Amino acid sequence: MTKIRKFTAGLPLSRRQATGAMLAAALALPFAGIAHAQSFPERPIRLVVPFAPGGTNDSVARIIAESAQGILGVPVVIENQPGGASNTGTAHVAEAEPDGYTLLIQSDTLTTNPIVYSNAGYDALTSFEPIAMVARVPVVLAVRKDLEVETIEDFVKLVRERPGEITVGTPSVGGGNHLTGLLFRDKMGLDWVDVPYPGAGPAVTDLVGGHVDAMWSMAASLMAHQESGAIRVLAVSTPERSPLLPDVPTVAETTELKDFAVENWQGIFAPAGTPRAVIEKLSEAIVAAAKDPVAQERLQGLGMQPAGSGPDVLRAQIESSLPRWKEVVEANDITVQ
Amino acid sequence: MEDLFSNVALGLTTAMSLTNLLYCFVGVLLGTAVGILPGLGPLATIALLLPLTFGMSPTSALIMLSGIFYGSQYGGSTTAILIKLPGEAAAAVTAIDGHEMARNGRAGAALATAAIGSFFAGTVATLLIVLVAPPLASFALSFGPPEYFSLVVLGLIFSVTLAHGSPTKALAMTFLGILVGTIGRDIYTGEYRYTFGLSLLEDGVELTGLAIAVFGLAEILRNLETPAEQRPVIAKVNSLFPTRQDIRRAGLPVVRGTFLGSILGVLPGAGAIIASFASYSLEKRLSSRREEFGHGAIEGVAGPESANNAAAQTSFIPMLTLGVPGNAIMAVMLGALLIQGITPGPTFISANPELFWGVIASMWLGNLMLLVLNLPLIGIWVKILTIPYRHLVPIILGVCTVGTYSIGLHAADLYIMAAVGLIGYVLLRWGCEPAPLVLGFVLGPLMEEYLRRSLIISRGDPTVFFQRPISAVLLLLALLAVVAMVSPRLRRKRAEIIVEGES
Repeated sequence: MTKIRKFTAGLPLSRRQATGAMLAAALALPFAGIAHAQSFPERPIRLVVPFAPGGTNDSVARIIAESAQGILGVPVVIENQPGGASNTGTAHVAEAEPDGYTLLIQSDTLTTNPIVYSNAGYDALTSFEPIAMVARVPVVLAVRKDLEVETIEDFVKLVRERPGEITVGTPSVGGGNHLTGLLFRDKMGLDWVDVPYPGAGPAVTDLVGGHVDAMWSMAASLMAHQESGAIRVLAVSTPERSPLLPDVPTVAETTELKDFAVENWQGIFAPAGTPRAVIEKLSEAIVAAAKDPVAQERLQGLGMQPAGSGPDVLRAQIESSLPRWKEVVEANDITVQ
Repeated sequence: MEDLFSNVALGLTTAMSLTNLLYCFVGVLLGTAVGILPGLGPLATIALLLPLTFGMSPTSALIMLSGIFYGSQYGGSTTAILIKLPGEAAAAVTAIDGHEMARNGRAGAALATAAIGSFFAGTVATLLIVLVAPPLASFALSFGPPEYFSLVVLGLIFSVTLAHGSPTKALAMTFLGILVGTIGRDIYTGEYRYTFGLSLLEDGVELTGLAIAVFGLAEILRNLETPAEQRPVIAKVNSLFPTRQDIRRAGLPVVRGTFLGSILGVLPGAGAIIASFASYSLEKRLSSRREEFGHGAIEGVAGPESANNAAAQTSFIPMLTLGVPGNAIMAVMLGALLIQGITPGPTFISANPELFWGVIASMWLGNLMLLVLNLPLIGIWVKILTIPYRHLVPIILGVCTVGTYSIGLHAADLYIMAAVGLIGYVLLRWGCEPAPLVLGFVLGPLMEEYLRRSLIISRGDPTVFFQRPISAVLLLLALLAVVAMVSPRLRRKRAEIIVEGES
């Protein structure tokens, strides 16, 4: 099914992709596809991390690779391909041989980048086959410890009283955290000052130091500071409360935005056109790897909610967030040529 | 006080266990190796080894990973001194006088000074962590965008003193560095600047690659322009160790470098590179032998090398006591701890005394190991200089190429390296030195980032830089530096010095 849909969807295949696909089809013809899938994997699998070593994405990749290689029986080698706001590595996998030996780990950035960047080099839905979602990551609103608000309602009230004065740190312009904040701001009709940073790290430092008033961020970056009281998390963006922060209310339950639901995630992908049998095998192995108790404990340590969901959940997540982000990006004109 | 002794005792017992000693040794050994190899830096090494630490105890893991980090600060100076190829970005400034010392046959003294200075700095910085980690950490947090901006302005003004030739040319090179630094994606809008539609420029120019090109490659080209028989022979290595006079001259710079590095290391984002540049500028200002700088002044090695090692060590303070990583390496270390289920922060020390004090004690032991490891190696390193240049050049080029490629695994970086190396050579021929360019490159983007962020937060009000006391003091110092530089009396003195230097 997947295969038919892919080739009839009229997607703009690059010349290289098209030649590659034809070549692959011609080569595959004499062999039985099933035999290939049964013997998969026969050699090490590359897992491309489109970010520099040391980031959240990279840490998750290393945790999953560690537990997946035991299940798959071949080494899973991490390859960092940072650059172009993660577009370089992501587009590289989109164009890789679809044989299951080149995989990608990405977050919601996979969805947002093609909307923000005109030259992203891939399509979030048609360039990849989703394999598994390994973690769910709530986005939270946090404030500096001495800002005089107790709840998200107080925060909204404060922003309304002092329009254009409250400063909100943005980990990365056009990223999921930024867009979540903008979505909330637009829906509530608020006016605050966005303060961009080159990543979550320095933004969190300034929030802890009290140099900005608030910040929308993946929970992972803020968990430790919430525990120590250096900042205060007011709300989580997910439809239900997060098991990571059971005492923190959701945006939906505390404001008039009853359908507000944003969730970031970490997922594994293969290039489009990877044989279905290979996808199934990989999906089974990676879901099992993500459900491994040791891996789950490590993911929780990073402030992630371990997940082990198959391709359908991951695809549905991307499909549902695409139109929402498109609207936010267009309304705020943050596209990059 | 009693507490302190029992804490230190606890730390030493933890760090001296056979396993931890072994991990510490592995860490510093790896660190020295990646420090020597240009390109492959501690960040990549630590990230690669992260999964290996999952199975270790958190204490052993952190001991090994931190050993890699400060070990690389030792190793970085070796190639900088011997072949003017900074193994680490923080060693770029060491290449200026360190390599000149090597050309004068004093490579041994330079390497020994770097190692001993680093050891002293490491020891003092470790003591500082023991004594005043929490107050230093809160000092770091009081640095907001305006304070950083003013600090960077001060640093840029000092950069002019980095050159030993014409101040005008130094200024021009600083500006060139700032311009090169703006290439890439603008963090405030996400737009690309000066990329000319080339995807290889989208992420900007990489610092280590730039330093390799303008120092290492340009130096090779300059050496090659004279035929082999006329080339000034590198003076015979007379002594492997510093003379008594060397030690007298290096003493105070080591102390000042340690102090400067310890302070700058605590500030998130400033770090070892700025510390080494700042120390060099400071030593040059204070020295009575200013004319020797750029021609093999031992102060120019002693100060910066102590500063970058001290900064490497104190950059642990905000990470451990606040959970705030000051640089990418600390962010990876923080990740390593979080994965182990340990949360750094204000309660970290009391909740994990064995871990905290064990790691601190291991830092001192590791520094000792590095000293013991590095001093005997000097005899081997200086032998490199006896290799005929026609054999050495291909080796250096090979190391440059592998090093630059290993940074991001992009072939495009090699084209950039070749082009920048050529430009660096032309500039060198015109008497423009690379050091101010590198400093402008490091500080320019930071200045822009903090200036824009300060103004965004103050909603466009520029008085914010004078209203905040730390920022105001830093700007005042910058102003004084400018006045000192342009005041006619000093300018005349400076001109005399330049004439002397050129004759």
